Amino acid sequence: MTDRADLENMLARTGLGDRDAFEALYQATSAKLFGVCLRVLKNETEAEDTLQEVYLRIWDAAVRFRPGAASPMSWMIAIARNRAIDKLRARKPATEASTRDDGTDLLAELPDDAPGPEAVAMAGDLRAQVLRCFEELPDDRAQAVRRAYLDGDSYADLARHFGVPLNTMRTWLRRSLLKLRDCLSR
Amino acid sequence: MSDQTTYDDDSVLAAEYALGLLDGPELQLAEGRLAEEPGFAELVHAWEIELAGIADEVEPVAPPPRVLAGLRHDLFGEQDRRWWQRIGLIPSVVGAAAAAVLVLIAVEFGLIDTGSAPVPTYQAELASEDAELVVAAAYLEETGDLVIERRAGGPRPDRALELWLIPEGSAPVSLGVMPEDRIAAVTVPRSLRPQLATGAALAISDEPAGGSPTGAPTGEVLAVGPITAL
Repeated sequence: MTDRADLENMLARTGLGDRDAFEALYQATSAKLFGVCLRVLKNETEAEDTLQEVYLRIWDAAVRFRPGAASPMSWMIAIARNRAIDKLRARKPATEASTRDDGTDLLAELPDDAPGPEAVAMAGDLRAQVLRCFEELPDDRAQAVRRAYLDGDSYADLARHFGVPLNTMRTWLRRSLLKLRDCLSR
Repeated sequence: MSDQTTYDDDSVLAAEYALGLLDGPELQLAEGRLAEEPGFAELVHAWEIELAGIADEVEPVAPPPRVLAGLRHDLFGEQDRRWWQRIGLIPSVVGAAAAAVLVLIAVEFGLIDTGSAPVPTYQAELASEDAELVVAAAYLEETGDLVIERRAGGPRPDRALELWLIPEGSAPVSLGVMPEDRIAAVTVPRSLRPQLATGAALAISDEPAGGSPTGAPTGEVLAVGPITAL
């Protein structure tokens, strides 16, 4: 397991154009970032292309990474998730069309990925703060934030999934985000 | 109170933006503010970092090796340049006698045009890791002929094997597609001859029929062997 200081060091050296550091960084982090791309895109070929773009971006942006402001892993995950969501959006018109055509919500039929109690217990104290803060939210609200983050759900997608009016969904989520912010800033 | 409201609104708007929930005019508004207000951009960035914790629940999956190969290609030039800089070259010796025999066979077959009994000066043995492809080579300095013998393996269907000279510390130079015959001779271009010396290496890569279209290896490097003096 590579620790935070190692990753910071690899990122800093990558920012200076050190290829060996970049490859070490890739070896240490690519499985996690590929997991994120796969989870968002649910398509291996697209996830591979996206992962490659993510590391090109990391190579370019590493020089701007500030260790004090973020954990290196969170910083890289943010890049991977955003790139994967962009890819997802790029193909979304087709998805929306098919959803409207047959009147069913394909997204709603995908299983939710909330971790079971077992996984939660195993993660223990290592759980990210945002996940600990999820515990202060009603389950369905935390699930809505998760779906937006990992499935790229819009307010409209979420309203459909949870079977509530669009404005109700907005109100729900805005309140939940406020609560999250309060919890995160504690 | 109104300050608090603004702060809350901004933070929530930043979170909505970071999550990708916004569309239409709201999205345009947020994008405009992101570009113009460093404070708002910071809020968005802080949310992106916090929300990344959600990915704790995502299982790591090892990506296929082609992703890293593609990155090396995109970032560091035409081809992964480092395989030839890093080849851990353990001389695998063909042996003076075997190399001499190889050259004599080549003379007998009329592959080399030389008057006297030539004596090879350098040799190399190239083998893939799984030993499925093994090639022995003997070099005749006086004529510039490289005699190669395929001892095991051959090209993949519809592909070619290309032979490369890797001068010490620099990029591979093509010596052409390996002839189909099991034993063959390749005349090394005069300009390359000084570089065919101890410290250099020979390599074989898998290429499209007809050889690499780029002048550099484009396919898998199948076998590498250091050149040693006899």
